[in-house]
Amino acid sequence: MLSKLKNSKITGTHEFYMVIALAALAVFFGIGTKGLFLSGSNLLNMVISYSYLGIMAMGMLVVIISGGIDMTIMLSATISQYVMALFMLNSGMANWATAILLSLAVGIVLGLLNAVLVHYLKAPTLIITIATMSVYFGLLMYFTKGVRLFSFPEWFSGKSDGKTFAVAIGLLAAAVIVTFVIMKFTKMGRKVYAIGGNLEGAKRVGINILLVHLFVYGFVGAMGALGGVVHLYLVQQAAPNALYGGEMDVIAMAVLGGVNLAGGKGTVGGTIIGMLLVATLSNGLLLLGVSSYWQDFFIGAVILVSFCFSGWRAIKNREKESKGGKLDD
Amino acid sequence: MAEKFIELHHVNKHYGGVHALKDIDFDLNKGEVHCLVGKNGCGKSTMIKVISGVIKPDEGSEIVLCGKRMKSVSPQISMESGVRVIYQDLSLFPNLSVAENIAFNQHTDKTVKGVNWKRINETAKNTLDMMHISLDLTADVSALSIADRQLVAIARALATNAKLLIMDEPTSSLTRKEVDVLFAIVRKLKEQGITVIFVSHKTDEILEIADRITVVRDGVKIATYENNAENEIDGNKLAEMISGHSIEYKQDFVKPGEETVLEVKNLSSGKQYKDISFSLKKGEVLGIIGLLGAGRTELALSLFGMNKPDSGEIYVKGEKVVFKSNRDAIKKHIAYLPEDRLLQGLVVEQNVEDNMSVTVLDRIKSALGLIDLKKRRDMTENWIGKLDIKSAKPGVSASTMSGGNQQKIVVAKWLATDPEILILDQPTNGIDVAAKDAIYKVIRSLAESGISVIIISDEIPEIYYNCPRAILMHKGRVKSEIDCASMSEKEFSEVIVNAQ
Amino acid sequence: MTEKLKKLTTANGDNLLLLLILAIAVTLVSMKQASFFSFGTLESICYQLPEMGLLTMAMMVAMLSGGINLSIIASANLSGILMALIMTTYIPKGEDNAVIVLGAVAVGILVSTLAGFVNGVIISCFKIPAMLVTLGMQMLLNGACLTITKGATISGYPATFKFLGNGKLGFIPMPFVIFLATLILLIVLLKNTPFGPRVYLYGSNDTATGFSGVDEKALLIKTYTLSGFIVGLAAVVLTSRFNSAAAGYAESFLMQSILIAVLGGISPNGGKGKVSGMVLGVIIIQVVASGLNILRISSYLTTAVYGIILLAAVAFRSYKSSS
Repeated sequence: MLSKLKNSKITGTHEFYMVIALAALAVFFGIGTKGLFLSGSNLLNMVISYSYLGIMAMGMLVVIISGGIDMTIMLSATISQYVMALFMLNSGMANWATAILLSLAVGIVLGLLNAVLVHYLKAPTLIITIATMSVYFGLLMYFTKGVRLFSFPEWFSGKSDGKTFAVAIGLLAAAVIVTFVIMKFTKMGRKVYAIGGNLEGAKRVGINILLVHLFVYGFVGAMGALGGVVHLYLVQQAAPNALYGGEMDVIAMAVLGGVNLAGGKGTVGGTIIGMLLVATLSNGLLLLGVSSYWQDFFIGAVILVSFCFSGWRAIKNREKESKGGKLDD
Repeated sequence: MAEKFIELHHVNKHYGGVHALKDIDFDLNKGEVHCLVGKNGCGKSTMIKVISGVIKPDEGSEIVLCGKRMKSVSPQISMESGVRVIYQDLSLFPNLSVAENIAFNQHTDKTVKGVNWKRINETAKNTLDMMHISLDLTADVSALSIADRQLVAIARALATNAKLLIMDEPTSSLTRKEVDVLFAIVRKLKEQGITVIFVSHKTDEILEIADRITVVRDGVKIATYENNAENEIDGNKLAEMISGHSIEYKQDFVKPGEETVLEVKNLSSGKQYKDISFSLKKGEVLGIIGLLGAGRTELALSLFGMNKPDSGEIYVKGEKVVFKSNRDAIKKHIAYLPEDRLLQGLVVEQNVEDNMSVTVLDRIKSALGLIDLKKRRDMTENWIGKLDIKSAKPGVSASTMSGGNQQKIVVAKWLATDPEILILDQPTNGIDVAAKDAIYKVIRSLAESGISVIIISDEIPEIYYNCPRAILMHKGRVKSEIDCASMSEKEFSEVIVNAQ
Repeated sequence: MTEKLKKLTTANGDNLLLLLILAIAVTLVSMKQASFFSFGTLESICYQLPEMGLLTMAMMVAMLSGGINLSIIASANLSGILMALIMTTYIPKGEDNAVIVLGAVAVGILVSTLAGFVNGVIISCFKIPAMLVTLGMQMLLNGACLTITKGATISGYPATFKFLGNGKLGFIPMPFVIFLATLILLIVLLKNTPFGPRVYLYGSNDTATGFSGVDEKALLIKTYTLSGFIVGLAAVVLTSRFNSAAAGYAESFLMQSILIAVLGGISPNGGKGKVSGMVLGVIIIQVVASGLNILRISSYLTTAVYGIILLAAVAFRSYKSSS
């Protein structure tokens, strides 16, 4: 009896179904591309290409767990990326450490601004972050005049397989580990879950909501910036409108990974699966020769279908909870 | 003379223009179970807030907490003295586990370092052991029944070394069996020297568990009674003191008609209720009482088409019906007033007219398919007059009305659908005595006009004085049918309590 | 002073406040360019305003029900592309064919209405938040746009179609006629049909509305289908005035429609907002846009300004509701 319960805790979860879906997709593409998809080099390249989105998804995960959402994540990435690029091109002090730190600082500041607005304006975070997104984007485009930056110093532009691996996978791994540790083993992480689950209750037990907001939006700003660093390294170009509109990909990764948009629920592992799902879908379609134009369409369709699926399961679960079983005599 | 945990002397509190607490003198013995009773708005919540340090009383108030004299209790001192409040909504985190909820204090305590899951689980287990109950520590609180959530809330308070536990209406959603568990725990706490304040309006429970009872009315402490054999406090006397009138209720039933309007045969729904059978005659007022039983509302929702039963049959006026939604039920002239007025009953932010007409918008259309605005306005004003809803105007927001008047709006909305069967779920919940009486009069006149009424209630007097016949439900089944007209209220009360 | 301010913010006081803001905006702009408050400007506003007006109406309907429609621009683009495709394929360049144009317009409106319908079905039947569904739909529709156009633009339309966005009916600009007709339709729907009160009630409290016998699924599907239909009309005006169609057009209009809705008093939480307020909001933003144009402010800076105005509007509304 107890083992049955344990089983359902694993098999009954959203993550489980997503792993099945991922496996199915992998098999499908593996067959369709005659094994090309499943080759080690392809899989590695795939993860590297999507690593920057995965980093951002970690930030998005945290903000959604807190009960909000951040539409400015791509702007955090772009602006911090641009500042970092300027720094590298114009300062002798630039190296990996200082560049990343600068980038993180910019992302965090942008995030803290969001945090203050979210905390004091008492309006849906969607609307607030759409507003700040416009402000950030407008100012960014105005001041940069769309100018792209490239030709970075050797320490940044010199690519090698090992270096790419270290930067992309390394920073992704770092982001994943940091997020996991914070959310599972620090008080702040648990408080984020708390305010996502019951904001009123959190206030009553004395949680400082402002601090949690500052942390959450600062964190997603930092993750955005970190993703921006990896993206900059991969494409070796800072273009002010390159990442624009990509926030849906990041949100999709988190949602496919099982995060609950109402807040309070979500795991790092699930988000990684979500990231792999989006990456697999895109990469697989590309290898199959499907034009990149079709990709958005397919991914959008898959996302909508997966929403229907998880929505259906949630409805069934609620029914079972309230009615299921038999009345004991 | 027992040692006092807290004493209130000449405590006053003004909120804006309202004199919420008037010269309160109150004391609490260490280790006692003290019940604070009174109707909504009487000041008992304010008293609790003063005791727990959430608000400061006016100048001139004096409080003695554990022997120390002070003008007001600060949240700090309250915390340190071991005062813990469990609010009615429990303030738990449904997305977190039982263990984490119980030990949540470790996250907010500045002296505790980091998150140690072993320590959290240990704390939770120890607390539950102390209460002699066991729960699945890993389960999310959202998956728990309300009774179990209550236990988690208590455990959370106890895990932080509580010395005074204040519980605000803890039994409002519990079955009798669950109340027993709760009371057993309260008694164990007493054995351990923990003081308990119980805020409630359920007179029978109060009489069961309280050592002393304090009645508050309109901000004034009316009296404090010892609850023992000598004093012979009974429910009626308490109710009188709570309300301030001795409303002489008497049974004055309308004779039901011959026609059977509703028949329910062997209706069952999962773990909610099983094998329910009863019938209802035209113009009859039937009570469904269960003393805090779940199952009644689920049954009512099934009759209203919002909870599909697994098996059994429902016959309306002899015709078998299967409802796919509440619209089907409304078409068969069944109406349901939900338990939670503010969440389910009406839309507080919208105006009176919209609230009243929502159920019949399709019926007041003119030729073109548009709403006949004049007809709607007339209808609204008609109901306002008929039900005597003071201070109501069609364009006014429902949020500005009192609880009693809001309930009248809900009643009007359903009467507009020409119901033949009206199901009222806890119709006078949170409504003061005068307004209660008004609603009872409405119910009577409805019965006189041939509408059958089913009243679901926890309150023994409410069922006894309004329903000539009552069905007793217990753990999802019909335990018995009671002929209220043939017995005294005391006898009726005994039947109910004994059946649990 | 705050008491007086608070009084200004009640029901009709709301519209008075917006009128005041409008008056200030017009005055400020007139100071920069004296010819602003002239018939010519009025006429050009009547050409430009309907685009945002229609898009905002589509957004407003969704917001009243407690949701949001983030797919309006993607949907408008797709409709525009399909209309353009039909016209350029079946009508030789330089010629005109009213029947085919009308057919294309019908297809365009139908597609957007259908997208709205699907939004409504997923939101209501699977109980997924509108934000997520319409965001996913936006992605899907954008993808469809790209797939069809392969990144190209389609332009060059027959005169009948151009007339819809640039012509006049009598002395009223055609787009304004469409806008006005839709406005009247919306007002009638909200005030005079069961749909209206139901949407407001649902937006404020979906549970109680469900308990009152209202078919929630049907209501939401109607809401988003209506939103989609209005998007279709907006697409006709937009495509005609742009004189071309492509994926990725008018992206900044999404944020603008939210801005105008919130400014006009539509609560993002649902259940609140009048058409009159929305119209005033559209006019105010139109004046602001003209003003920024006159000052030769770059379009990017304009976007930033709109973001700030949205934040201000949100701040003001939340201040008002908390008092």
